[in-house]
Amino acid sequence: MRKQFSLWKGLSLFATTALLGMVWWSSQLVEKELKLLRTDLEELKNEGLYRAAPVAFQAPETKPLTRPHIDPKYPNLLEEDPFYAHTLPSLVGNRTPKGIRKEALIGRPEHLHPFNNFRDVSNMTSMCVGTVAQLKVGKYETMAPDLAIKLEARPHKSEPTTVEYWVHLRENLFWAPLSKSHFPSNFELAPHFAKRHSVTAHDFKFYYDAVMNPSVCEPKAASLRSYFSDIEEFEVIDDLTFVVRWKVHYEDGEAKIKYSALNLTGSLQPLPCFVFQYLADGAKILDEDGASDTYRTNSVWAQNFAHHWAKNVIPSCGPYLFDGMDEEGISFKRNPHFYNPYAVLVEGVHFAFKESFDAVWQDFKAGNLDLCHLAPNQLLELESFLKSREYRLQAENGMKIESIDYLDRCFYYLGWNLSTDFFNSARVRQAMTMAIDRERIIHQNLNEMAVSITGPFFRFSPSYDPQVNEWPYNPLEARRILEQEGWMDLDGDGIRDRMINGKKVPFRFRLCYFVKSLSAKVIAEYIATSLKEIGIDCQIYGLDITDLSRQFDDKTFDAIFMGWKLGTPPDDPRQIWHSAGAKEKGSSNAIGFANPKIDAIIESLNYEPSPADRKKLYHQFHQIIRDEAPYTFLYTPKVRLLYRERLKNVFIPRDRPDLIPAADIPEPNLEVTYLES
Amino acid sequence: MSHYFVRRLFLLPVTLFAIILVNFVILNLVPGDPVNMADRSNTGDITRNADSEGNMEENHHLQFREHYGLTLPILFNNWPSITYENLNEALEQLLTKQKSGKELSVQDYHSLRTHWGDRARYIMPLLLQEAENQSLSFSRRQLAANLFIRGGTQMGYVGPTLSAKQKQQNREIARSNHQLAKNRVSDWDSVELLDQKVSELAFWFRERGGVEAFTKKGGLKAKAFLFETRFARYLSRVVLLDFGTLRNDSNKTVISEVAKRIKYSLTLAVIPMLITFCLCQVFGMIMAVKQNGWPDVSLNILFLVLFAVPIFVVAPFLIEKIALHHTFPFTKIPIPYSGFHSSSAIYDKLTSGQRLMDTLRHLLLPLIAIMYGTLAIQARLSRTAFLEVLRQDWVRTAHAKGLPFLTVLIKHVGRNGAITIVTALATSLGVILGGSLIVETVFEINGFGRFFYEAILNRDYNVVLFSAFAGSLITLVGYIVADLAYTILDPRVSFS
Repeated sequence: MRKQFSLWKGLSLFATTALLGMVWWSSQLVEKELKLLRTDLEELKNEGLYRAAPVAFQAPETKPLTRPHIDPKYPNLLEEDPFYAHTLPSLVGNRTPKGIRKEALIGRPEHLHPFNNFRDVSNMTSMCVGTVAQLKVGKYETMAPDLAIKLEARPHKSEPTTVEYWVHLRENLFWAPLSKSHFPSNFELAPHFAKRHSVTAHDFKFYYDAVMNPSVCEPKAASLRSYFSDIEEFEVIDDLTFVVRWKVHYEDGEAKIKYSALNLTGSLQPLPCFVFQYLADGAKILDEDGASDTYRTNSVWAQNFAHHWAKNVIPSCGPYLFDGMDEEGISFKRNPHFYNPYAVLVEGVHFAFKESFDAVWQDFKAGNLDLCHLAPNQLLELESFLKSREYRLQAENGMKIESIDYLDRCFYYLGWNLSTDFFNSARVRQAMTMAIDRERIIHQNLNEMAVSITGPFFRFSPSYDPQVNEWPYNPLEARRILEQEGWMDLDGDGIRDRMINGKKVPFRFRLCYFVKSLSAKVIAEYIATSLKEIGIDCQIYGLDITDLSRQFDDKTFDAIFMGWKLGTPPDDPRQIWHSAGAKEKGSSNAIGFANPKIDAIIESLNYEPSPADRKKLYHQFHQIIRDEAPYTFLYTPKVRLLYRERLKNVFIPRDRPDLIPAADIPEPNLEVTYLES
Repeated sequence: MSHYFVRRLFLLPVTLFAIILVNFVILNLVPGDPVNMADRSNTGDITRNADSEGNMEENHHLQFREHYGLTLPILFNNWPSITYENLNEALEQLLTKQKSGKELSVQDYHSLRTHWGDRARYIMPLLLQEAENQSLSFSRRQLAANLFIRGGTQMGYVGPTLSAKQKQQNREIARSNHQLAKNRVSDWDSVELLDQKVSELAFWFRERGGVEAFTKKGGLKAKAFLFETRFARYLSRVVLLDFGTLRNDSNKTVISEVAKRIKYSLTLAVIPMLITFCLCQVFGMIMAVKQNGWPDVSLNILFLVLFAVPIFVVAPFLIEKIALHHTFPFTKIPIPYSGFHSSSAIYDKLTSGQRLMDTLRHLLLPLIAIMYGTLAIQARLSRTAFLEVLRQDWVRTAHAKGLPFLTVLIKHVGRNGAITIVTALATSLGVILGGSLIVETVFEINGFGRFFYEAILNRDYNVVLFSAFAGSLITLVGYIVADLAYTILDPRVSFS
């Protein structure tokens, strides 16, 4: 009886504890919900009536450009993009923006600081913050209005034979209020941030000041500083007008500003003063900031900026509004008040953070993602999935997989460290290139998902010269060159040697590659085998991302297998190839390449305005790099973009002259896609 | 016995101090600076940006290094004792980029320069003297002047809760830094401009007290020797239980981030521990009672196989073959394969009961993946323990006096056999913090394992040091608990 009693007592004690636990948990959840509700209500109250979203796309209003500082005498350098004005409206018709486009990112961004250099973060920032001008859809080196409505080239204040740029901003552009829900729960956000603020010329000036502040150490700011250091003066005329005066240089007695000045002026973006000049409690970081150069010089502000409390949100004024980031992913919603209603055709975008490409692929197969980029070694897996029962069921339910192939804007290479005894001779580097069968790599290791290249520009950029001959695959010739260069097998061990400073040095070097990439591993193994055949001992050395980056920055590698992600034209080869970075730690010229002819071409490209002459210079550049062979250019990968059939309007501009006449961009633009149910 | 435990508790901080010291020194000796990281492409390869990467400027990571105290020596600071001869040798090496007749590599040159940049604040009078010496070459004076500027550059106070005095100091620091920065000597400056800049630097120097103010002597030197070091700075924070913030988000403290993940790691450590304990008792007993019979042999073989299969094979197998495209039996609920619960968008809309079920569903596969290995080991361990107990005289006596078979097994054999397992479990408390890296990675659960692993990869020093500290603390406490458990379970054990 006593036993039975204690058993019941024990059980009821357990049940009561469990019940109390559940009640406590539920009350916590209710409290959390209530807090969220209160935050939402506060936001609604602050935003007032302008929160209402339009139900369908509407054509943007066009008003004549009349404002006090706009001078009709000067033509507008920004041209309307006919794709947004006519083509896209006719393609989407009267649809309402709907659905969340779901994508995945490999890895999680460290933070969302405006000067974070990671490509994904840069892309996200540009989704939420516009620039003065934007490229026309599908076309290189064009300028269409974005946050500015007019860009004028007026005579330069100090040298009237050249020009300065007057930027006239769009009216009614606003920074969306910051939401408390985007911060940790114990974080107090002052009411100042819960109101919307206008985007003004001061925000652009603030961006420029932040870039130019020598104490701002974020990598993107440091890289932009080298370009913007050529700005002589940044003058704010009024809230909607500012002037960018570039330094005048005298070339052959002629006054010139740099060729890149116009594009760089167009790429200026605003940095919200209402956030980054303030502390979270609504007080200013600097009490006294009246001087025009305060933010360009103050080191204490720069320090606060590096550790800013808003470093993990993106203050937004562009086509998308930042909608929160957690451990699982990051969300953006369409900005219903953005001037161009066709800029975003979905309700929002969600990027899930995934650990590996395999995790992305699993999620795509399960139907949790709308699109996925397929790695070459996954082609077989795709094939077998397409034949599976699960896929047949998905296809019957409107989840068919479509695909589109395009060239990725990057190239992969073997970089030879020119400061080593092995690779300081161009002939040896040529021999290395000839010993590696690049076509075989594309055919066998990459399943034909790549194209071969001969130089450092994107295959479809006008800078790339298709006439430049590829180094042939010729191991016999490679052997002959190595012998001419003094690399011979002196001790019969199968490895070539050379006497350097009286010492016998075997041709044995380490090739560093990214250990987590399957294709890099098999390619590195193939290269080691190929080089073994010509008597070179290439030891492959797989490293994780941090250690590989360190080898690159410190220039401590012998040879490295990596890729360069390229931008859109005009190409600027200075960063990788100019001799100024050859001996600098952390420079992109990691191999230590220095060539006076190349330096001269880079300098000429600074000022040459004629497209034909620029093209000639780029082609010369390409030819010299090919002959010097500082890299063995391996391939530009093809990307297979897989997407579910509900994603519509996926196309490659270059292949659709009917939509965009004379388009030259060979990658699909996901911002013109929309979702169907 | 209480003396024994008081002594153990007293030794705890001493042991912890030694552990922190060793960890701190090791972490600081590990090579590595912050680097320009490469990006991963959509298909998992890595590339760097050809159009937006800057060269590392001289003081590129200065703020980062100052913030973490990396500009100071590790344990002892003898920099105030640097002589002119030391400086002279270093300046020569920096100018010629050569050491003992051999050219310095880019890496060595850069670290030498950073090293002397950090020392500069202790040798400012010497540096100014060099910069002012007009008989020296332009580049040597330029180098000395720029090192002087580096030495004089100070960091301000960051954050919202600053006192009026700190704000005033910030204004002064900003003014002083600006004054120094505009006198930085560049390669294309003329000698006259150099003279002018150096005289402004000298004015700055005198304004702040000159040689007297910038030279450490006697007591100040001794104080600097012990306290102006990385370790002293770190320890002074740890004593106040301030473990700092995450490297990438100063809104988040290390403690709050650890607290956020504790539910994941506790669930993944404690639940499997409890289930394993119960199951291994049952299996161990079956195997012991039926020793050499078919249940014993077949379970033995099964556990041997389970023990042999590595977790990185089992986890993807579970996802690919069990979860993907399959539902729970007799339901239409798909078997989840990632995360601790459904995505926030779905999870936030569930009631608390539904949330519990959702979490349990998500936990099924990770728990199997974590448990199967330990179950295999512990079951075989408990088999041995039970076999030993079953052979004892008092078990035979219990049978002989007519007690039911199950009562003997549970009350007499079970309790005594459990001692081995319980003490083994108590000492493995540290596992909670270690997390299960592979399971957390494969099933995308954001627990301690991944948190600490990523911290190591990202060089998040605060988190790494905290993990070492907390791991040591928990393990030490675990040992004390194990000692206590011994005395409770076995009255014969005494520490007096």
